[in-house]
Amino acid sequence: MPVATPVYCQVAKPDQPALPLSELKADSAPDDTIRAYAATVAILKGAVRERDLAIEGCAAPVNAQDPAPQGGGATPSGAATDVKMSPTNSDGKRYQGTGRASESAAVANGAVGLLRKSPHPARNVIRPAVEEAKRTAHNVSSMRTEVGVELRPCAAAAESPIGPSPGRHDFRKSAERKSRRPPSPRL
Amino acid sequence: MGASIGRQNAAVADLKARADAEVNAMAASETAAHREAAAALDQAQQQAQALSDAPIDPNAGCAGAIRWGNAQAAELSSW
Repeated sequence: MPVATPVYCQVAKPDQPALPLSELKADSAPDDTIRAYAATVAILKGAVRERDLAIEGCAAPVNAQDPAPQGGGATPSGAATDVKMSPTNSDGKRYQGTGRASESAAVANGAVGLLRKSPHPARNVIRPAVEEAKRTAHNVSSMRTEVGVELRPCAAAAESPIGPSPGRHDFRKSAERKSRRPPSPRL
Repeated sequence: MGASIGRQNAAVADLKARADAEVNAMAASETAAHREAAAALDQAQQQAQALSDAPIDPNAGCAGAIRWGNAQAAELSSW
């Protein structure tokens, strides 16, 4: 029984680069200080480029905007083809299972709901096929199917809680700490 | 009923084929982007190293350091 699962981009969190500014001391020489500032700016700019490029990697593939079916497969209008359903998944056993048509319809309904909420561009491509499967399943009163579909869900996205990451800077705490500090001497 | 099952099978197979193609395309795109991102940061690290090694006359004091910093600002402040 196929279970369509939204696929999210799995972008690793970039490492926070070491900044030369952190090596400065109160008695650092002016030339060392200005070098550290300049090098820090260069590293921060690189970190921004790194982040932007990683985000660009999550952009929709070019062909994801075209939901029209390719030749050889079923069409959203329901035309049958000679594609055979395999009893087992060829490249993975996740979501493999068996079920009756009514269960298939329920799962397809859930899959369509998931896909509607999914921001992933693949939803435009696979939604027609899922809806076709749902329509067909409704039309069949009793049958038994076996199929496994691997849509490779993003475990990280599913498991990561919504909210601030543990490593995020807490500006409120910083402000509180700052307010407790003694005033710096005026030069 | 056989035709309906056939249609469903075809729909499922088509769904899987297209989803697999999308996943593969996304994986390739992510890998390429990851490479480019790492290269960008590496380039920045090299630039930072060059700046850290740049010669500044230590006898020029603060004024000399600021002059050197201002000379770098045009490049550092642009994207």
